Amino acid sequence: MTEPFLVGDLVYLRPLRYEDLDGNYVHWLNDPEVCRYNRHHVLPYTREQGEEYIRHARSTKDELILAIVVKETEQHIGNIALTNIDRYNQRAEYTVLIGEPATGKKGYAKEAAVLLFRHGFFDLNLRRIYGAALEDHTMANIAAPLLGMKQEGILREAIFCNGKFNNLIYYGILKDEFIERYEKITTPIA
Amino acid sequence: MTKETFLAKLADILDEDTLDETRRTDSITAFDSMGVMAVIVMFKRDLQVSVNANRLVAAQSVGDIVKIAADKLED
Repeated sequence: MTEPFLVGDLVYLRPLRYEDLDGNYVHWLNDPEVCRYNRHHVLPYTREQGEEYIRHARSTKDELILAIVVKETEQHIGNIALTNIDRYNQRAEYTVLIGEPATGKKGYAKEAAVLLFRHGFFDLNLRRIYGAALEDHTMANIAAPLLGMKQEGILREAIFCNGKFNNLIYYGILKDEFIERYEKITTPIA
Repeated sequence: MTKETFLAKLADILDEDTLDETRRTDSITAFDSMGVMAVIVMFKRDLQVSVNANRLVAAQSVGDIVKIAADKLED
């Protein structure tokens, strides 16, 4: 593991590294499939932009932007972040980008999110973590409740994507809900 | 389809050797968004049942998933 920051059973999260640009990272953000449900792939993404973003990610104290790396293979499969960290109101926005397509049913993204949420609640002292998904993004709208996030609201026709204005569905999880779901010892359901 | 066959198919789809009804869904690594989609496809293909993803997401155990399929399973 290189520069591990948060370590799980399957993945670890680490700061982005300039060497990540030698992999598929720039390609993800120019891939229409990867970017189908986000606002990338509107203008070309360049290596220089990647360097600038990594420089920002490695130095900012206002956001936590990390690479998701599979422990077994050391493959960088995506990025995950807490942005818009609001220390007064103890909340932050969760975003994730999975760039490598063959990572479904492996539990990587879920474990990465749980690692990040735990850090957010117990080290950054957040009370609430929220995120949003386009209504058309079926996978994200399944993933959020699987993580224990509750649907909180809909911004109607908020994002222009794939040729139309899409509703944006907001989800959130509170610290108490996270503890209830992930920090209690669980036993098989009789 | 018998319950045993259903459980075997479910285990196969979710990359588990076996599954029983007491198993918690949150302990199944492959029960992520892609896994839920695969289970929806199995319901449609093998049981001719359309399942809303929210019902599967709400399932706390494999037994809860079996209950969704119950009407289509043989005794």
